[in-house]
Amino acid sequence: MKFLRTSLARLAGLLRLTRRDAEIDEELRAHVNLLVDDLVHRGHSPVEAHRLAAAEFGSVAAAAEAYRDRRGLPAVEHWLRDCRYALRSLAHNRILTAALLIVLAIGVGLVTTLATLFHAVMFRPLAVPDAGRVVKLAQRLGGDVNRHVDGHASEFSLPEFDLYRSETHALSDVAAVRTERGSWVSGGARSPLSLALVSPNYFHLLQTRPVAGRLFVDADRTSQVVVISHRLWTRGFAQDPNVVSTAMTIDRARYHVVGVAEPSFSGTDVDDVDAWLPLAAAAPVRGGADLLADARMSWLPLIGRLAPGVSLASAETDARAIAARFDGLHPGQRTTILVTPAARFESGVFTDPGDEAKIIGVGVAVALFAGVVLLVCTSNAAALLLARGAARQREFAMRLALGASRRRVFQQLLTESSIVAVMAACVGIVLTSGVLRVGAASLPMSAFFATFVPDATVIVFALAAALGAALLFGTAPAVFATRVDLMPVLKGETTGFGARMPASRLRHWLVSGQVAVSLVLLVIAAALGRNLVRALSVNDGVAWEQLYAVTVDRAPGDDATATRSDLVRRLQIAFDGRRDLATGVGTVGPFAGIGVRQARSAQMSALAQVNFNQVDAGYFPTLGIAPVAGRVFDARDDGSTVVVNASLARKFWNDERAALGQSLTYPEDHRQEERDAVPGAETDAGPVERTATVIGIVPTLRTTDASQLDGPTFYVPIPRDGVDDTSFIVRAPGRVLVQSLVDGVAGARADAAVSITSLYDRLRARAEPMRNAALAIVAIGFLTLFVAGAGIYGIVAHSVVARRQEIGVHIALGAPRARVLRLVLGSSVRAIGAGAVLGLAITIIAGLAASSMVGPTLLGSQALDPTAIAAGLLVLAIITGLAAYLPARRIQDEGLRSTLGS
Amino acid sequence: MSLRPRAPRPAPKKTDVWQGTLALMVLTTLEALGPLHGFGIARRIEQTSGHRLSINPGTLYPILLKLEQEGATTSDWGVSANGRRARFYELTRTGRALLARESTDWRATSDIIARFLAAAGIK
Repeated sequence: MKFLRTSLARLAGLLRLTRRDAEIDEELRAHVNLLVDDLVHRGHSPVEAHRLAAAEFGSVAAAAEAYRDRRGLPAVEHWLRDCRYALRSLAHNRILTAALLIVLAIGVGLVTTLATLFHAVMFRPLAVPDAGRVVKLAQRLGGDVNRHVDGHASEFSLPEFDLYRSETHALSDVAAVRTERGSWVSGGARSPLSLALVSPNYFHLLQTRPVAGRLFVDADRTSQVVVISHRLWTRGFAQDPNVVSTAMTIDRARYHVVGVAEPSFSGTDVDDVDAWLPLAAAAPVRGGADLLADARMSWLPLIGRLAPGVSLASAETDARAIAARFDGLHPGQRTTILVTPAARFESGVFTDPGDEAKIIGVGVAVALFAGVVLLVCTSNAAALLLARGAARQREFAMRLALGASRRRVFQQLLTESSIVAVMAACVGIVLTSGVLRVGAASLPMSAFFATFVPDATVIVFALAAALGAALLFGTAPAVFATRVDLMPVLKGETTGFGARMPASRLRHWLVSGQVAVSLVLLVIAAALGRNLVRALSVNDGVAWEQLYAVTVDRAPGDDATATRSDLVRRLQIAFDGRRDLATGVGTVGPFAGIGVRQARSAQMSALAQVNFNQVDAGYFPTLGIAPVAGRVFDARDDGSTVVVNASLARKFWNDERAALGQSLTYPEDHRQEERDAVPGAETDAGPVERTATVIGIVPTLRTTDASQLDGPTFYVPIPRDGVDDTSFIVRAPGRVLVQSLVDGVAGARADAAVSITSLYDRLRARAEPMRNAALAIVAIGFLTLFVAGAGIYGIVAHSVVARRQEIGVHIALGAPRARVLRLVLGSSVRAIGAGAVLGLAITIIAGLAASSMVGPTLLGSQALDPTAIAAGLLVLAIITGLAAYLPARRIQDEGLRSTLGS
Repeated sequence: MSLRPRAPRPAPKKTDVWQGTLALMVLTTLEALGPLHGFGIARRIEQTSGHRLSINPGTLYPILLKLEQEGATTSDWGVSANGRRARFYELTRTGRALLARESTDWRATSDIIARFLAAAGIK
């Protein structure tokens, strides 16, 4: 009770509700006056009385201080006073404060953005009720695999999905969802859409609700219906309440809107989804008719919801038991099912063996990267504060001489750092949300970015990062600043900022460290940039700009294969008739997936899994590919010949040219038979193997992933009756020409049945994630360099200013300009050089480590790109050189005037 | 000699007074004389001690404030006998209770100490 009362009273005192400063002074003055009165009363003269009273009372200021300390909470008051003082001293040196703030805010902002994105991508659960129970299923295929992949090998076929859904006990339900890109055709205009083809139970499994209309039910399986996202409803329909039952043309088919998803739900993948279509209804229209029946086609990511009381581990055991049954139908195949908590992240990326290590690796890399960036900014801030601390030595010495304890001065400096840190955190959070907002506006993931902008976790993280940085950058300068030898400083006999101060050595270390880190980031940025240019360039031998893929789809509801074959044949004739256009045919066009098949050479005992495609004689000439050795197919070739790419030649025969004339053995395609078979209804007689002669070796292309070369691939001639399911590859000067040709053959229905895609657009779409990543790293690299450059500039400028007298004397005594410049630059150049060497060493070590750990994919084919290293060094040299040279020259020019003038 | 708990000096002529004791002296003074200003309290304590104690304002005023914060006293501005404006302190009911408790404690303590001294034959 007493404690509570006292605390309240002191709190009131702190807030100046009782005993204002003036009252305390008045009370103490009254005491002195009463004392004087008393002394006069006792017979002293007034003058004498005043003297005696002053002597007896002692220091009024000290008494007032003791009085005030009792009034409020002294620790808080000291702290508040420190804050006031810190703000005044920060305001006094605005440029330095601004530099500090910018440097730290950049660091905090970057780290927070990275952490936020990493957290969101890796750990953020789905925005659905009870999201912790939603899981993703992925499979790892091993053994004898004969599989087609359109997406990722870890995905499932529709028959597999049906089997899991009907057989599982551990999951209350299983749904399939495949994301695709499409366009909404409205009034002659096309706008891009992010689509998801889902099984009808998808929404029910996720327990999301509609805001208008309804979501899918089982009866929608084959209906031409669509559920649109809240975003599309807002953007495309101005939230029209009558949107339900409106018709939408998506690509070549019409769908009726049945409902609008709730605002918080934007799908289960990284990309926001605009519209959901029923899988079985939409896939055939979208050219995926074959996908539906093919039991060996990986194209469907699956999600599930754990049944009540079932753990992840038991769900996995259950799924594996089902997989084992499926393996029984395909002798030699070994499937492992992985059940992981669903997050908005492409599950397929991490399903290969050793992925856990990769995830940890990526996490560690992101953390290291973020830490390094923050460290650069922090060390810069420390350097700036050190420079400032040196300039304020006289002030600190004065305070220490007046009786302040070192602890108080230290506390004061830390308070200053903390204030800067908190301000930087605020600016950093603003930066972060800005970056995320820009990201949301420019990338197709608005909800993904927007959902966590005001996140408390983000704010706490930014504050923690900033305060951590403040402790780091504030402590060292405070230690140096308070370790002052009072007398020389007070007498003005300081050495200024020369090499004799220990702080200067620390500063040079900081410069070296920054230069090193900037170099590492620059080299990574340069390597990524080069890789990007390589990916988008035509240097892989293919001029993608003039290439178009022409694919014939089944018209909606039209199962008449005859019509389709007829159309294909007429197109073939039309293309053949145009001598000015090169035309080729392939089962799988570039950037449209890849076939996977087992194969072996005569020398190999076991089959190896490689890529596979069926192409005609025109395929390679149309792409503009000349064989490295031998020849490509011509009209005479049949199943007895194969063409392999250089990668496969190296893998099977260790040498590109040695492959020529060798024989390659592969199992016959069972696709046709399986299409008619129900899994489990028939037994497999075992694969019939076919052996063919290698007649040519072609260069390794880049048709699966824009950022890396294809794996080992072999090509077989396409059978004459097998062209139905193919893509035509046409080289034409423009899309219009191809379109008119197609229109001429297919007539008015062309748009409904034949799609024309620019391969260059496909390539660009494939390269997009990598381009974004590369741009981000390039931006971060330059930002870091900018920060380092600013730091170097500041330090050199400061040291030069401090050595102004020395320089002035040199100039006055007639030292040549170059010599003075050398004098000024000497130590900076040494620090920068040391940093460059250190950075180079880190780059090389990190490059070697990265390529052995993660593989060379991130940085392209070469982790240690000499050109990238050279480019990084050059940019570094220019920027640091300027940062050191500019202030040195300015001072040199001004040196004589200002020194002798002052 | 003044009250400086943090920097003790060599034994003076007058006796040092420590804080808890001073608070008790303030309470007894206010009980005896009624509302009184800081100077009056200091003078009274010095007189009562036979000028063996000297009260430092730097010690007195924080204690006056502490007693007020604990609710033992209230204070208000008033005018002294010789026409000076000063802050007067007055005992509250809580203060009287505190005084009663503290004086009992103090008596008990001094009684015990006296017994020890007597037992050791020290006068």
